[in-house]
Formats: sequence, C-alpha cells, structure tokens
Amino acid sequence: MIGDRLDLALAAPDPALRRGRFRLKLVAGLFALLFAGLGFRLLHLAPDEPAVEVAAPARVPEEPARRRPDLVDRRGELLATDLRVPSLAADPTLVADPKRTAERLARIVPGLDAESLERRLAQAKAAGRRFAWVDHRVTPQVQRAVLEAGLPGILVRHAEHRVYPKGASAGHLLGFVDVDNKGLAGFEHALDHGRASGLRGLGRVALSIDLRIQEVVRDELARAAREFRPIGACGLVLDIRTGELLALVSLPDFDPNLAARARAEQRKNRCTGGTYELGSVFKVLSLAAALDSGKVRPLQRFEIPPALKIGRHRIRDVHRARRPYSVAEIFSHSSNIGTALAVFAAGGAEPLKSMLGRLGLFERAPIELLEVARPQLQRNWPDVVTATVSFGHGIAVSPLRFAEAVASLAGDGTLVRATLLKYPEGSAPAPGPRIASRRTVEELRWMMWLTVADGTAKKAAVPGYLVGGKTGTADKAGRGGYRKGAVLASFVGVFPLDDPRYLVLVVVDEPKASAASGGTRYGGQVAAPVVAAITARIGPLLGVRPSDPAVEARYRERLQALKATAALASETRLAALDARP
Amino acid sequence: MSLKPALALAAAALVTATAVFQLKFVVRERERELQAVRRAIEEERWRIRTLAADWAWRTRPERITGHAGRLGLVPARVDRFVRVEDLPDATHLEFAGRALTVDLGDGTAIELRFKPASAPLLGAGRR
Repeated sequence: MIGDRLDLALAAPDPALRRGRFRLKLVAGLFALLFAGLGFRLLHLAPDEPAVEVAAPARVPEEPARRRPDLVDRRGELLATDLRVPSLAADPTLVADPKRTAERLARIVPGLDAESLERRLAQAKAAGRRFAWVDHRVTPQVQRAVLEAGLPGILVRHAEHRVYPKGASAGHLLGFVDVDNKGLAGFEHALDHGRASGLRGLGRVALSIDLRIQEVVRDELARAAREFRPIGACGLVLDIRTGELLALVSLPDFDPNLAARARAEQRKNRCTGGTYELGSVFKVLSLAAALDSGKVRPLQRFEIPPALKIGRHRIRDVHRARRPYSVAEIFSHSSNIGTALAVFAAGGAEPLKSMLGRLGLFERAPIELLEVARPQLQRNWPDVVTATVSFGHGIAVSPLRFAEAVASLAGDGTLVRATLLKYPEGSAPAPGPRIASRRTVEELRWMMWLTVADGTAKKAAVPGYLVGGKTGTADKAGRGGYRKGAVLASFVGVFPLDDPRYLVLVVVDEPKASAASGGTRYGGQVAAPVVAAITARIGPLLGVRPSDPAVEARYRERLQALKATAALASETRLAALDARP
Repeated sequence: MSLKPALALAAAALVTATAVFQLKFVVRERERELQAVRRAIEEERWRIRTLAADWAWRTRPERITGHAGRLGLVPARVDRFVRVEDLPDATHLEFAGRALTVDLGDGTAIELRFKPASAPLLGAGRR
C-alpha cells in the first residue's frame, strides 16, 4: 500500500523505486504460491470420509518383552502361560480401620487369615507405606465381591501371573516362578538363568515333552506307588535317536500353581536332582565296557565262586550260580561276581573308567533344568571300587544321567545328550562321538533281550514288541554302611529292540514288599512291570509298529545255542567233579 | 500492492488456518480412536490367552481320561496294528467299481472308478 501512495506522489519512475516495487511483487507472489501450496497440502491431508482402512490391517506391536514365553509340549499343548489375574492390594494409609477391614476381607477371600492381615496393614500404616499386598491371584468372583464391599484403601491390581493349566502333570520339569514372575525351579529357572536363557525373548517355547506320554508314565508310577508305598519314584522316557525327553516324572509331585504350598519332599526332582547308587542296572555300562575292550566275548564263560574276595572285602551274589556263566548269562541273571570278573578280565579299572568317562557319568547332565545333581564318585579306584562300581555301587548318579548313558549304548553307539527342547520338525541333532562299536551295541541288545526273555526281568515282556532291559536292586547307603531292607528297585528298558527308538527308565525308591511283587523288592518284580505297562501304552501312541518276528527268531536261536552250551558246560563240570576222588 | 490481492491473501490465510485447526482436531480424534482400538486389541489378546489357558485346563489329561471311560474309548494296543498288506482281500473288493467324481478345476468333471487289485499284486503285497 505504501507502494501505491508512492506511485501517486511520484509520477516519474525512479529506477530504484521500480526495482523496489518489483521486489515487493515478487515477495507477494511467493507468499501466494506458498499459501496455495499449503492449501493443496491441506486438501491432501483432509481425511477421506470412510476413514477406516480395511485393506492392510495395521501391525500392532508385539507384547512387551518382559513377558515370559508360553511353554507348550511337543504337540502344542499349552503347559504354561502368562495371564492377567486380579490381585488384591491395599494403600494402608487410606485404610481407616485395619481390624474391621481385615475381618471383612477374610470373610470374602477364602484362605485369608484376618489376624495376620490386620497386623500387616497396621504395621505398614504405622510405617507410612502406601502399598501392601493383600492376596495374590484371586478369582474374578472374589474380585467382584471385594469391589462391591467398597472397602476404602483396598485396591485391585491386575498383574501378569504364570499359570500352569495342566496342573501337576509336568510340575517338576516346568518348575515355577515367584510373585514377580522370576523362575525359581525347573525349566522356568533355566529360562531365566540357565541353559535356556537364550529363549527368553520368544513368544512360545516348544518342549520335547509329550503330555500324553508324561501322563501315562505318571499314571503307571502312581499305580506302582499305591502298590509298593515307596518314599519316591522316578520315571522317564527318552527318544534314543534325538535325546529328546518325552516324559520326566518324579513322585511325589506337586502343582506348580500352588508351588509355595508344596513340601520340599514333593518339590525334589528325583530324576535329575538326586543321585543314587543305582545297582545292577549299571551292569549295562560295565559289561558294555568289557565287551568293547575286545578282551571279553559274550559267550565266554566264567566260573562263579560263592564269594569274591578282594582284600578284606567279600562280594556275593543274591542267587548263587550253580554253573559257569557266560557274559550274557552274567548279565541276564545279574551276577555281581561275574560282572566284576568280566570287568577284571577286560583290563580292570581303566577300560571301565574310560567308558564311564566318555559317557559323561563323571559330570553333571547338561539338561535345561535347575535341579541337576553332580555324580558322586570315589577319588581312587582300587580293585574293590572297580568291582563295586561294575555293579553300580560306590558311584551315585542321577537317573537322567544314567538314562543318557544307556541310550548312548543301546542306540547306535554314539553319545546321546538328553534335552527338554523339541527339535524343529525334520531336523535332528548331529550324531555325537562314537562310544561303543556297532558290534558291542548289537551284543548288548541281545543281552538286554535275554534278560527279559530268560532272565531277571520276565515281567518286562510286552506282547508285540521286542523289549530289552536290565533290572537293578540296589541296597541303599545309610550312615556307616548299607541299610538293611532299604533298596532302590529299578528297570531300564529299550524298545523296539529291532530298531531301538525309546528308552524307559523307572526307579522306585524304597518300595515295600507286597503280594504283587511276590513278597520281594527286586527291580524285576517292582520296576519291570511298570516299564512293561508304560511301553505297552506308549508304543501305539508313538506309532511304533510291532517288532519284526524275524529278529525275534534270530534272538531265540542264539538263546537255544546258549542253553545248549550251558548244559554242556554244567555237564562237563559235573563230570569233572565226579572224576575227583 | 493492490488491495484485491492483499484481501485474497488474507482470506486464503484464514481458510488455511481454519483448515489446519480442523485437521488438528480430526487427527486428535483419530489418535484417540487408535488408542482405544489398541487397548481393545490388548484386551482381546488377554481374553484369547485366558481362553487358551481355559481350554488347556479343560483338556488336562485327568479330565480327558475320565471322559474317555464314559465315552467307551479304549487305549490303543499293540495288537491293533495292522499292516495294509495284511488286510483281507475283501477291502479291495468292497471298493471295486465304486465311482468317485473328480472336479478338474476348469469346470469339467471326470469319473474315476476303483479297480479291484489284480491277484499277482495282492500276492506280492502279502508276502
């Protein structure tokens, strides 16, 4: 406008003024352009009427990382998950009358103790604290009742809580968490601190467990527990090819949802957290070591004396051998003396120690759990220790570690490492280092079959499957020696023997003799029937086809040959006795 | 500068200002909606988790076992395994001549018929 007036006053165009006017116009034009631009941009930004875009759903960011992953079994059954659960809390400074409030709450919330709550509220109030928990994890009904009661100072907090929908089914291996969702035991602990901590950020973790198998093992163990009233029991099923644990049951068990109420005895994981002198089942390992040394053959016979004297120690057998035993018979009839003799014939401590070492029996099992016990062994191995270790005394290992060792020998002879994590479909771990020769493995399988067919474990037979195994009845050590009458009855079974795939181990701690076991506490009477029942139930579930009759025929043929030579051996022995003056 | 363009500019400024405010309000509203939807999604997620947990609880082995007994289900047994080769010939014959219509996708449909397996094939299968 100044420009207009100037225009009127001074007609004579001054070049400087003209330049100024031109500049003004230029600036005005630029501003106009700018506004026009802004206007268009606004039109562009204005929302179209149907504002909801349907085509591409917006990606809502995943849940915060503080959540724990869901745990599922190998078939996707939910085992553990985080839920938003109401909890009751209080702002004590707002609670006018702690006594009345506590009494009313105790009437609404089941299991809440009025007196202790009153004390806590009063203390917190006196200290001026503004927060106190009243009760963790209440049901929605309780929550509503509390809100309806309208108690001043009482709050409902929604907090994430770990929930185990399958209850006690897999309590030991899952473990549990504290109120702040930190893992305190089992796999939950490993997820936070241990070998599975890398999986913490995942949404879900698939465990190797098959809940159906787990339940079968639990059911059969519980049945045995009712019959033999032991102080505890352990049962596990291991996939020999991959090392995946399909079931891991320890009795007595507990519900991880109520872990705080479980007794220490219930929380103890006997499969991994306890070490035991397992007894004769160990002969699987020691006789495999003897065979693998190449110095002992399965049909080689040993004269079995009534007692074996080593220094001032005497080793005896439960059932005296009346004739020379072959290694296979030492195994199937579970002769302690015979095993010790075979191990000495194979070279004594060195081959045995080397085998046990290669199997990892001197170390802790690297499983994804908190409760993993370190094996207990003697520092020095004089002859007497070598002899006792050969039949499973003087060395204490966890049942899991032992199961891994047997799986390594009964499978294809390469090292098996147990895991609680499922391998993704179609992938399998690379085979471990070779532990025993193929020949040893073959012989061992036959010897395990022999034990079931014509040895101490006849009750482990399962119609349809070729089953092999080894019984164990170990005296339990107490203060200053072995306790009388307290034994550990066990059986380790492998099926189907024509193509070993699964290992079933049952350990019963201090069974009482009953009619079902013929008044004895032997592993063959107590544990073997449990393994047979488990095998018969899980085989079809796992899709294991009945065994090849041709393999069984071959095994039987070898048994006949063995019997013939045994008869011959005892005849010649009798003849020799007769010939004596 | 003349009056007219100046007025036009002023008007344009007013209009844009109004539009900007309008937009601001709309955007704020949208943001609120978005937040509500996010909350609802989160809420639903928890509901789904709760339902999944509920399902897992209802399908826990003890309960299933109880129902299985009532429904007359029996455990799988080793002796119930049958190989296809061991099945009697009747099963081959039962389906013989039965028609199966197959839609080829382009509108044409053809009819397939099961043929009874020939005797030599059966013999080979049965060993």
